[in-house]
Amino acid sequence: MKNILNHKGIDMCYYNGQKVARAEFIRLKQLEKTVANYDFLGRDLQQGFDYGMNAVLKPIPGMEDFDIVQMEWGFIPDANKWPFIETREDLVNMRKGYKDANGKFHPPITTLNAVAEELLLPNKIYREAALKRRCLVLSTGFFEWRHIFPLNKRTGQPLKTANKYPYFISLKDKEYFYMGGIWQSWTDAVTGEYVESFAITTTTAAGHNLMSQVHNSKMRMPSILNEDLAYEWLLGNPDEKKISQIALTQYPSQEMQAYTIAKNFRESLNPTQPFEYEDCPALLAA
Amino acid sequence: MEKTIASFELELNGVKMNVVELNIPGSTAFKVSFSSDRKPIVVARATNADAARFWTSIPEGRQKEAEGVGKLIEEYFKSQRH
Repeated sequence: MKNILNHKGIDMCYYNGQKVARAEFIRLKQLEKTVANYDFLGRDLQQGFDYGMNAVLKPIPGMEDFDIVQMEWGFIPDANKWPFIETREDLVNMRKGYKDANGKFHPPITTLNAVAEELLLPNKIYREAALKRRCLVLSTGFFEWRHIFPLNKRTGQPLKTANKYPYFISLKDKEYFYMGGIWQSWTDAVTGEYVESFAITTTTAAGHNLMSQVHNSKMRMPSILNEDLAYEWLLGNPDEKKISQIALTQYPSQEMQAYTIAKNFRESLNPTQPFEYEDCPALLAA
Repeated sequence: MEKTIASFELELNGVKMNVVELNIPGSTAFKVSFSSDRKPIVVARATNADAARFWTSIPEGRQKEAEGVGKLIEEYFKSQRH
């Protein structure tokens, strides 16, 4: 904001390059905050790889209470630990991969999900956060791809390339639910930008009727927590064993639902709209 | 009285735009989502130092886009009056 005076001697400011009165400037700034909250709670689609802002429940220290805040999805490691992320440029390099001065390519490091089985292992970037900074990620549902290997018509053997079908997965009769998360604050060493970021904890989908069929390529699923576990994770004082147990939780398959959606759902105005594929076999009931 | 939330679709050069009025007391703002990869934008009406109305992006930073999209929204509402 830059203060100037107009011909009547009234203090003026700039908003989006336009000269406006202070009162209008304040109104627009307030509108920004309202829209930010409105937007992040109302999003239909939260894509991990756009590293956008998401609604997260974060405990208020010393109180049995929490705030709903926005955090960036994609855990930014402590700048003092490997990988040493000091600036936003370092962060983009970590997330997208980059070539160093010698032309050597460093592949991307993805920190969207924290594997529950490794959460508390010594030297893991998530350990401190899992012990001290747990949060809940609000969700209405999530998307995964099912891989189906068509059979070779001549040999009857599965082909090497799978057909992929996207699914929308949600909980029956629940508009919102909680996924376990861990968070970390970080400050850009050059610009001073302060960011709170998070990762979602994931557990195995093996043995889970629904998710083992849907996410059959990676056999992973988010740690979806019921109300009791969500409370313990967010506001309780669980020991290491309990933290691991909660993160490894498989939400009951019979209380979940999944259906296929259009393959271009990311570009769709209604990404959760059902879409049926003739060549996609139905999911098997338990 | 219940407030009616306006929601409508516009199209420009083959790109569909889904426009939703945000229910914010005291302000009129619209969230516009695009069928292309373009990021959604929130636009609002504001008043400049000369008391003239203009469209702005919320938050700042996409003024040109806000002017273009705002003009389309304005034309849509004008066409509804006839």
